[in-house]
Amino acid sequence: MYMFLPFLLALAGCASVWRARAGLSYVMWGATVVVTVAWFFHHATDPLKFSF
Amino acid sequence: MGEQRPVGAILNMLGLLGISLILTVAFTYQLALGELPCPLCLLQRAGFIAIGMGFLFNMRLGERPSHYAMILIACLVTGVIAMRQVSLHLAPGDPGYGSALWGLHFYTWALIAAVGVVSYVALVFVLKDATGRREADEPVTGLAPNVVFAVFALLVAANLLSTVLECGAGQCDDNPARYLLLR
Repeated sequence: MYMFLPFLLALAGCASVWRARAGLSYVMWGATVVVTVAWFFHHATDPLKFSF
Repeated sequence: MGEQRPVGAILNMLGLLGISLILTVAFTYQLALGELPCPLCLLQRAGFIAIGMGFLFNMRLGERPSHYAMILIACLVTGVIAMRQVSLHLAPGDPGYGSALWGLHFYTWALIAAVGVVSYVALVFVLKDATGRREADEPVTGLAPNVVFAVFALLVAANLLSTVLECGAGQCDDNPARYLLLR
């Protein structure tokens, strides 16, 4: 699990924006969000002692 | 006299500046106080970067409803991650993680900021409507947008470098005490 991956993907997204490559920029944004959510589920393992 | 920028372009530039400010404050605390960000803190930063990318898309690729949707989705992701961390430290007597700014920890500020950006996007829509510029879909160029873009890209690169130094090629400790690649 590479913690730096979301930042690498986002930087690639910025580079794509600079080169005005819209499609690739959107793919990089999507990958950034998907990896961020995946890493969140990987880390959010402690049970919360809440009851509703 | 130069050509007047559409209100949407200015508001998106301000939005990206705001996200850059958030990332700068987090970085300042990391470097000045030596507080290493935890995994959830890093993911909140990644969320803010994804929000910033939405503003950046509006600036450089042209204003689109889908770009605003990206901002809102990234706000949801960032808000949920922040809410999870708030919940972890909600119990009475819990000192929280890291230092506080004006009485609130950074994950609480992250939650407030994520909700704030949603409100800001709503304000952008209202102001665009009120000024009658609903169709301003062309990219903005010039010195100011380029500088704002450069600052944001620099902060993304700095976060990448810092995370590599802190965590190496793996996952970060839950309570990191030192940079893994710096002895």
